Amino acid sequence: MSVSSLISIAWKPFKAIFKGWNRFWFTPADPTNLGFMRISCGLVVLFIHFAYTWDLQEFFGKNAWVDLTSINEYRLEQPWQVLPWGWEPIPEQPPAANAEEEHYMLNWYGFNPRMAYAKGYPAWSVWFEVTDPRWMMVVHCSFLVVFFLFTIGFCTRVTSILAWLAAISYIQRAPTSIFGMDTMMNILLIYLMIGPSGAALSVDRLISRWWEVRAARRNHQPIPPFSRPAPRVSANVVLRLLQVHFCIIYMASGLSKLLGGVWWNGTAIWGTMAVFEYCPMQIGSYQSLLKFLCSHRWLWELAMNAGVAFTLFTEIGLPSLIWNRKMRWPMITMAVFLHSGIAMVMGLRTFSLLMLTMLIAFVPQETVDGMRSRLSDWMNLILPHGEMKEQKESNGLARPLGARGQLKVSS
Amino acid sequence: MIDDNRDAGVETTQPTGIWPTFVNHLSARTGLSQCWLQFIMLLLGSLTAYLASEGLHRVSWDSAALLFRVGMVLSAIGAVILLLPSVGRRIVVSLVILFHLGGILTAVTSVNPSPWLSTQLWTTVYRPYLYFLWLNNAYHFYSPQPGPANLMFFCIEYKSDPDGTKNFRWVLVPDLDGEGRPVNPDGSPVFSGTEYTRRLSLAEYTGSSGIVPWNLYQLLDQRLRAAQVDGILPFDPRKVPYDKQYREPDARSKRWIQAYVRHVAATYKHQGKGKENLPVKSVKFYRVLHQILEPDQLNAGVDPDNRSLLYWPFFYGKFDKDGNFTEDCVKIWIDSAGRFQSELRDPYLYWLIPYDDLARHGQGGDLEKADSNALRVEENDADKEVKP
Repeated sequence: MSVSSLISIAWKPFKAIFKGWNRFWFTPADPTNLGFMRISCGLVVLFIHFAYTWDLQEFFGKNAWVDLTSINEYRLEQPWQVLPWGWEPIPEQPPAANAEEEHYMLNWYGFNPRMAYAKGYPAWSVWFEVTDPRWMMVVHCSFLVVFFLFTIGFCTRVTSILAWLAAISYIQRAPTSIFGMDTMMNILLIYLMIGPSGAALSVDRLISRWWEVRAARRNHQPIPPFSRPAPRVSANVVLRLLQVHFCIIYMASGLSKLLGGVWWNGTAIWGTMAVFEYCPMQIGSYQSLLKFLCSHRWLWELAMNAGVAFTLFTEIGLPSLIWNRKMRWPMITMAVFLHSGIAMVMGLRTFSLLMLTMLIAFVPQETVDGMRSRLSDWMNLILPHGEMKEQKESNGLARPLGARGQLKVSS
Repeated sequence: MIDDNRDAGVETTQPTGIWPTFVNHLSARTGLSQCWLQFIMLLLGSLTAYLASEGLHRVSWDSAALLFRVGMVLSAIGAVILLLPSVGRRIVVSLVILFHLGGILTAVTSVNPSPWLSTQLWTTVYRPYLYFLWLNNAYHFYSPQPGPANLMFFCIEYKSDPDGTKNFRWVLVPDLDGEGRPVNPDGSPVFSGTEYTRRLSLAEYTGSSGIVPWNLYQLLDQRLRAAQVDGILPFDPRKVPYDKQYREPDARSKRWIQAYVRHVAATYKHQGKGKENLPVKSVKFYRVLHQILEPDQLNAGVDPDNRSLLYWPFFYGKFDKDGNFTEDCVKIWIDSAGRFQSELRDPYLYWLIPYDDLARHGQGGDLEKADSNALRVEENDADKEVKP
């Protein structure tokens, strides 16, 4: 056997991996999902930040819950320690050698700055810089305008970046006031900023359509059809990143639950249903339902065990099963039920809405095309000249799809 | 940047969006290819970001300067990637994807119990990246088990009246009104559930897990001795073991608590007429765990908001208005050998205070000689109680 044939045999599995990697990440995809996610995420983001209007000073002002001095110390001075690279134990804190070290140790509960691998962390927030209440309100209102423009998809390439920069400003300034909702919002905004989220269902698209029509009219050419958004590699990369990130979130959430005894004895769901501060315990009918369950032990145990099994199966099963075409819709449906339950019982409505928005990344292309087709049929009924119908026929809105639900492209 | 589909053979389409249309027009007018135009623009962008970063540094807007430095680097890298052939771009993007997902995995796995490799990678490689993007969440929701909600109770003591009357105000965050609607300490409604959850989140950060101290029995001894004098007894250890009644927060939580105390001392005035400007003497802080009602308790008719039974306030210290521990609570100093020393002087520090004794503990004894907003519960004439 020659060397070249040996190399080709050894190379074969790697070639398959590279091919698969290339197909998974770099096949152009329709950006419509991203457009829909932008609208959905944008609306929630707008609401979340609008709600801040009454709490601007409370959370971001000079004398906020975490005051400016504290957050500046935290982000610039906080010590980070690295574990030993060998088997030696973590060394003890050495005594302070000068007044500067003494001051630092008093401030950080005995941590000697010489022991710090690094101090602080890189963070951006406009609220570190703008602290005058009137200017804060001006900046805050400008951010609300940015979120609105991002939602409608106006200058999306710019407004998506500004929207993330705005949202991260609030997060970095008040890190102790954030919860899961902010984490999901941040993830969505990052990916929507990277991907072409304004390429579909946006004002940008309407503007470029208007330019197209105007140019055609000016040149006395026939008006081109309103084509579907062009498939893009960047759209696919971002959709894939969202899908993988979503799976990591679910897997981490599901597997970490297995450390807890109450997830094994099947009673954990009670701990999410009966928390006075989160659950609607003040609503009489909800409390009556809980009392009814508690008065029938068998029923209570059944309900709790079923809830735990459902949660664990959805969170641990989804990351692997959702990639199977037959299991995709059942898993999406289960995730929808899970988050609807979280919204209703635990009161985390905006968090659930953002998780459901992330789930849109898994909606297959056939479904998006079907929806678009139905939408264009509906538009036909409204538009007097039947323009949409004509376009549907001319540009093949319902064109056949590839095996993976994506447009076929020649390679 | 990776949408150049020339190699993939995708049919070319009209650009969508304002920016691509603008580049298209500019390219037609200048005769330069779109690729070179974007390259020039990115380089110009990088230069502008550098100048902005330098300018912002001079006015001490360090975080804005950092942002522009990041923008400068990204623009420069983007410009170089633009000039690469399609395969080169895909290789670069693939490496970025691997780095990014590697970071997410270290964030997920660097929470205890965590692998050594993950912790080292997180600390030495990914920490700045994940912090800047705020992607360092481990997503361990409700694990290992769903826990009770955390609440914050502040007992602010103001300067006493000339006749010896002590002035107090209790601030409860978050708080609900009689109908279960979230309210601010002044009684005004909280705008939305999201803002209410943010307040719960503030409280959550006061309780990052501490460890049981090596000298727990010594601390218990002090606690029990103090109880004999004040009558504020701990819970029956057969029901709640002593080690569960002591929770010292970690250093990071202590710093958050100090910040919260500063905010409360600066924000909340005494509510008495003519007492709005009384200076703050001290603030006592309690982290209150609202225990989840057990199913058998609900079945037995226990109210889910039964404070005496379900509220577990842990005393986390007495502070001055600047958020420093008062000398009679904790003394912190650097000794002559340069070592950090701390002495817990208050025997109740970090111990659970039964809710029924909370007002007495917060206001320090004689409740009748105090002007406070603590709720006076008079179930019968013989048994008067004062509760926050």
